Amino acid sequence: MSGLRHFWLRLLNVFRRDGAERQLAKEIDAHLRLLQDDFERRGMPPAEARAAARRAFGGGVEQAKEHQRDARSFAWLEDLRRDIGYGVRTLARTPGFTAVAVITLALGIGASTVIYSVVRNVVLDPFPYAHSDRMVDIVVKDASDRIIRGPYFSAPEFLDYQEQSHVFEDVVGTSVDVMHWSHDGGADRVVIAWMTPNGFTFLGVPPMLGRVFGTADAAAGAPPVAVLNNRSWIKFFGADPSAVGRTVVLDGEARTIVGIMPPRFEWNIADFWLPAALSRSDDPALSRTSRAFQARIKPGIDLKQAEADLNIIAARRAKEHPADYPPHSRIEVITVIDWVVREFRGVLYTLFGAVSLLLLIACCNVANMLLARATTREREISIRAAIGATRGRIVRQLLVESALLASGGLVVGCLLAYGGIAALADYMPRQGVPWETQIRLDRPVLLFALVAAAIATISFGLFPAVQSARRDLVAGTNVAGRGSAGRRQTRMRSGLVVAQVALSIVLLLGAGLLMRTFVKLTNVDLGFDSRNLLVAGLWFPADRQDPRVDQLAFYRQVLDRVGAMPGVRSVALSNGRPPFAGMGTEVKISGLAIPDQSSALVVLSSERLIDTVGLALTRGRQLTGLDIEQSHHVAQVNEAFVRKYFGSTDPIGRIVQLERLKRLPVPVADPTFEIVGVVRDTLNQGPRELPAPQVFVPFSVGLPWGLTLTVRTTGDPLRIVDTVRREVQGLDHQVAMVDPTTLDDLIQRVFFARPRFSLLVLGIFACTGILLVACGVYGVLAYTVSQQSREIAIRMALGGARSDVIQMVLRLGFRSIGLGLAIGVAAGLATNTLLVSQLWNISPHDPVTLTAGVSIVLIVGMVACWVPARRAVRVEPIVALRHE
Amino acid sequence: MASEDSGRVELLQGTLDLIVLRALATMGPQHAYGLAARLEQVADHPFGLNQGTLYAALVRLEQKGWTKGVWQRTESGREAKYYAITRSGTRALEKQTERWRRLAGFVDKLLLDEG
Repeated sequence: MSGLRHFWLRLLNVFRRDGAERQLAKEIDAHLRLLQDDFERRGMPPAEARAAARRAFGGGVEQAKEHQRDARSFAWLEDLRRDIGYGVRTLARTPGFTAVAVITLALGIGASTVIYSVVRNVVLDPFPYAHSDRMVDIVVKDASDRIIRGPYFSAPEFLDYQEQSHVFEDVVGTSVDVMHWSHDGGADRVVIAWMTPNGFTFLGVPPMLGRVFGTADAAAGAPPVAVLNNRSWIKFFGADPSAVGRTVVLDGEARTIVGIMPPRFEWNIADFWLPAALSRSDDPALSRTSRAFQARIKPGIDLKQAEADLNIIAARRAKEHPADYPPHSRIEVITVIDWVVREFRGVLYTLFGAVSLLLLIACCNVANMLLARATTREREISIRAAIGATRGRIVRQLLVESALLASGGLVVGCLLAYGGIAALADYMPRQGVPWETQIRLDRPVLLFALVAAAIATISFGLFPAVQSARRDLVAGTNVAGRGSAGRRQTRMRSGLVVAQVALSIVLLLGAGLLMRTFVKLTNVDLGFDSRNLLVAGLWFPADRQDPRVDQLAFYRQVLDRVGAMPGVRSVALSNGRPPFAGMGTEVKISGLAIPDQSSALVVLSSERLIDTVGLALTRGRQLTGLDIEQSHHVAQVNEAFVRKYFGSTDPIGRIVQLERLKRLPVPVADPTFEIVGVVRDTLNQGPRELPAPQVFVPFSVGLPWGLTLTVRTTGDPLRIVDTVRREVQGLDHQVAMVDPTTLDDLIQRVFFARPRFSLLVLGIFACTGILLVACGVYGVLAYTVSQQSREIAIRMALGGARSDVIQMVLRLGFRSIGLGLAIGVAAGLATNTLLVSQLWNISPHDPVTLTAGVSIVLIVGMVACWVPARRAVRVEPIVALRHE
Repeated sequence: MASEDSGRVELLQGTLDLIVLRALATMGPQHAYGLAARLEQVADHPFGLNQGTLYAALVRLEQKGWTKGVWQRTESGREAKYYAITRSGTRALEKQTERWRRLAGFVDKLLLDEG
């Protein structure tokens, strides 16, 4: 107890120094007076008595004070306090220097904190679930390392793995499906996830409202229940707490909502989670009997051990079901994080590498500034050394100043990061990023910022500090002594500039490649006009057995009514969103020998689809309203189809057989079609892929349960969404209109979001980097010029030409820049190969990017050199010499 | 700085603390000068006490809560800080005395045996 008290009092005394010092002085003074009194009583004259008292006190008053101080508090801490106070005063004397250094560091620390927060919240710890680091999926891979099955498995197989394995703590089986939700306001399509009743226990997240389901809810005869997603609660119920207890009719079955999950709970991205146990006797035709196998590995067991255990079961099953397990196939265990994040991880790690470079550039810059300042502080440091400061003491003093700068950088950097994270969140692609992800400045991220600041302090502070302390005394105190030490310094500072230039060119080259990729991607002609196109799904409830005629009549009315709306140019229906629609099908062409595996995308479409999307007809005719109404077996094919299967022969009038149509919910008995037209190609697989062969047939030949409505409008397509919805539900209030969106949006989201994200981030880094480099080059040259102003003045006074002086300065600058460029380009060419997976249609050694990057650095370097060079020649010889 | 001479101070520390506590317990409240004078008086041979180190002991004892310092006037009318032993100081003194006795006894025995 008293030990702790002692410690605290000592600690407290570090900060209460003044009071304690005064007390001590007073006490010692009293002591001396009492001694003096004694001596006087013995008959000494006062002056002598005072001296005797001091002698008797022994060891000197100051030493006594020092003893007391040591006992009173922690000497090193008090020194530190003094250093900090001194550092703050020093930095406050040069506010410009301090501000620039702090901002530079803040940029570096802020940027790396933003990226770390993304890496952490996307790759390292995206899920709100308990022990998510031990959550795994299992899949079956074949000999060539391709995933052939999984993580979905049929009930018997699923249960074999669950019951016979020894490596899992718990297993959850989830099956995602889409259901039709009929309600008073119309109908919606919702994503549901069937979950084994242990699901919520497995995930370890309590509900926000109400309760989650358990084993009893999955028992036979239990009242049907559902648990609602927080996002869907807001979307469908306007965040009304009374949603708990309400009844929803999903695919015709009434279910009670028993609970609502908190935000970020997005297991399988479902709107509703429904309980369903798994049993070997389940009807295999039901989709819910096939479940994704997701499990939590027991602590201490690694993936390899788990795989070994599961492969024993797999070997057993392979004997009974050889068709499911081709030779050399094996089970692989993949963590859920890996499964979801997959290749986006690479992007993030690249960015993390880039931001480290940026931080390094920032550190170089500040180190450079400190070195420059150290020269002006030479005398101060020499004097300190002369009166007995050890080298360690001086280094510590200078390091404390660096740490102060870094702390400033840390605070400002965290503010920048706070804003940066908010801004970046808008640009985060949805694909490859877990929906549970929430990018935020949490404790581990702040800790990271702190570590980054500490590392920065050491890396930019230690070197200049040691350099300063090493300076010999004579050189410093001697005013004219700017000899060898100065030159050594200049060399070192030039070295830092070389490093900065090299690092920044690496960043620039990377950003350049991504920019070229992005520009190339966005400039790709998709083959149609994606502006002003609205797409929305129209779905009938699965349990409704409408006669085909009625459904056809419905679709006909939708086409007519929406087509007649003001602001609508053209309207069409297809299965899936054009032009990326289509089901894969095997193709046979009568009278033509084509390989067995020949395939194409078959699109069930209405008339005018080609017009509405903006595709051109190159040969033959369009599908007509009559074709649809009478379900004529006619087809249009795209040019890719013609190229692939007909070559130069005329496809019009030929017969194709589309096997897939035999397997529709309502099968097409005779899937043969006569080709009547050829359509120009679109990039129907996205901008990175070649067009796939595509066939368009009347949708009426095999009505699916849902079709996509495509509307070309004159203005903003989203403005007509509500009107279209009213029309559709007016015709049939049970039909759900699903995900209305513009095609432009969809394309941006699916194809461009990720490259844009990388480009944006790396671009900002590269710009910041080059800015810092400009500061660095300028700083070094400006300093050199000011140091050599005397030499320059003499040259000019002796008749030296201005151009000579300018050349001298430029030569000095470009020596560092040139060396930096050479190193940077070599390094950049090596690191750019890391970007290959993010590039498209461009070599990592792209000469255009290389030239552009080098030119940018040269131009920036030129400007940074030019300003000090100009200043050098403006030196008035008289002024410069008098100044000395 | 502190590290260089800490060996000497530490060695003396426990002993000096004990001596000061004991003096305060027997003599009642004392100022630093009175303590120093008393210690010199008691010692058989020159104690060699650096009066400065006394201050280290005094601040230590006060921070541990074993003594309490109050500014008062001396008989000669000077202002001085008087230290008095506290109740926890008395308890500590008992414990320290006991420990010292055991240690001293042990060292004595050891020295006798070896001698």
